[in-house]
Amino acid sequence: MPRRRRFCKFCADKIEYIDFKDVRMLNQYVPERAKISPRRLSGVCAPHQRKLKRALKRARHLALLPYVSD
Amino acid sequence: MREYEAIFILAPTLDEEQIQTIIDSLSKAAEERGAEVANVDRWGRRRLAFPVKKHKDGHFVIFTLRADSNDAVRELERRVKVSDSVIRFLTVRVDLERKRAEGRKKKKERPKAQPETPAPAKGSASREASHA
Repeated sequence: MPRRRRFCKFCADKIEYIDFKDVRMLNQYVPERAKISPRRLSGVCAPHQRKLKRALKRARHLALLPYVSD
Repeated sequence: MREYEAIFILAPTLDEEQIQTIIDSLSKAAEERGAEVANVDRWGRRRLAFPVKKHKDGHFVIFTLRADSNDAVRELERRVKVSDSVIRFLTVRVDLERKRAEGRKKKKERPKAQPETPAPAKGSASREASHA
């Protein structure tokens, strides 16, 4: 994922429901340390960042994504 | 009508037959409690991002349930909690979020149809049935 993005990918793709099972998509928002990337870097808008956060945390609970890495 | 997604991670030590038995018994339990099992999706064996109960892999099984109440979900979770075969589970109510998404889409389509629409009621029902 580019370091900076000026638009929200979810708005551009008209995605309303962010699926916590879509690991490949979610992986774009957790750089090496497995932290959730901040909006200022990913460009995700506030409403979508909230949904993304929800999805990422669900995915973590199911061991689809790590809580920590390294 | 509520729609739930119930995801269960089964221990990797189970064989195909045991997995099928668990899936069947859970489906049966859900149906007895008035839920319709709309779909059962099996992802198969998957590597876990971190060890869960000392297991590094797990069999993922995803149930899609339709029900009018949470009886079936409660029963499934109760069973799964006492079972050693299920190492992790999550049940999410998906209809709420999807409905909200649809409502927003509609609003976008006709933004000025009713200029003075009262603000939508703020329902604060919890979105998740459970979070183990």
